[in-house]
Amino acid sequence: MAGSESDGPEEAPAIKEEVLSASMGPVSTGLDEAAFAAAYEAEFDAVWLYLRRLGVPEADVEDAVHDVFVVAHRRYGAYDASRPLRPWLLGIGFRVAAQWRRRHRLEVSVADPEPDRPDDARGPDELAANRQIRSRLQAALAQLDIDQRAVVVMHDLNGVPVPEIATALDVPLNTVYSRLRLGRAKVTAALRGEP
Amino acid sequence: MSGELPDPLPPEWDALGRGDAAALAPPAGAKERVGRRVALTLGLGAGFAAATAVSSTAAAAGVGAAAAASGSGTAGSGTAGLAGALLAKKLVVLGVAAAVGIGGGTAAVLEVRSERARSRAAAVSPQTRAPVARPQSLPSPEPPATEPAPADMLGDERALLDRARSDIAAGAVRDAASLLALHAEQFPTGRLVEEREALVIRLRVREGRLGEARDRAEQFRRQHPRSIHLPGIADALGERR
Repeated sequence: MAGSESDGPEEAPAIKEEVLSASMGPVSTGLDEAAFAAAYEAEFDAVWLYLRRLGVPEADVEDAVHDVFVVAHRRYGAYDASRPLRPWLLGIGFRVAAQWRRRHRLEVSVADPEPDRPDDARGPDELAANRQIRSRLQAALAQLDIDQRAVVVMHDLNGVPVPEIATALDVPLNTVYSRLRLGRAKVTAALRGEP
Repeated sequence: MSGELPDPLPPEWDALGRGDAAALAPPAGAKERVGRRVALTLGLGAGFAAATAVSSTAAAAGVGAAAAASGSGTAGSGTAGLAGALLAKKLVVLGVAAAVGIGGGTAAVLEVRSERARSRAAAVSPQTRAPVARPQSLPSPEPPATEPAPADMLGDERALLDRARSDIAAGAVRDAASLLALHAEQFPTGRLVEEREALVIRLRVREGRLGEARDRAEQFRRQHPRSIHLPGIADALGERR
């Protein structure tokens, strides 16, 4: 059995403060703008997708992605440049998503999937297929609590190794394995239609 | 040892993941919109803007570069150019926050937290985004009488007051006060002035300034004897059992 599960991201309440303090004006983190811009350019889609898969709805995800990159900029001094950037950003994304859930006090609903965008250029067949896929996977992910979901998505959809997840989420390695195992079991059962 | 790998996922997992990624991908323009906001929040300059927000379209680059070069506006510091770009593109209420010089936590609070609200904000005419003096205090119970607000401003009013209401409920009284003051500046004779005043009364109660809350409530009752907000005010003041 893995180590004990935490109740959630302890740092999450600090996220809002990070964003708020960032709005006070220019900050110096030792990160030059071009490097930050390159990271933004490279990781924007991954951060967006991670937040969406953690249940942040499309209407709020731009705000959440904004918060992730603002916090990343503020905390860049704590980033270990010898490690890959994406897991670190996704770890921040997890905290932002957890905070969003607390703030809205809503569980993610999959019963009423969001409508397709009006400017969507995909054909009706493709839209229908995507809707079905989205519904199945998101319904399965919705069976997980936020901690399990963060790990399963990061590991099984983003391909982040377990040790990197442990570092990004600041939890013991065994806790990550535990969450992954429990999460996978729930997801698999949901996809098979098991109760 | 619990570090063993868990059971494998179902065979269709990869296909589901790919389809899900396609369905949830960011819409066109999202990266640029968020990039501009990140730059504004952090006070980043041309180095970031050139690499992100203005990289995708020549038009956007023109706006950003012009605003950054001119350094115009009242936001001050390094955000002036980006705030100018935001104002020119009528994007978000955050732009107003920068333009009116509201700093600290308020600027982030003023980000309207929904796509719907942003769409409404984008509909507001440029005149409403003109730089104004920073509000120093909460609005007077008796706003000056001028012409009524256009219909397309209602969404902006609603967004500000909804946010203020949430902040009052959450105990974020400073943020709520700033939002209400901003509403008074932007919409002195808006359609939701009555609701704003009701929120100010609730804010005063939350701040523990009960005397002022009661005075305002009395004035409110005289001005709006049939207001739908009267029961809520009475509840806030503890006058109803």
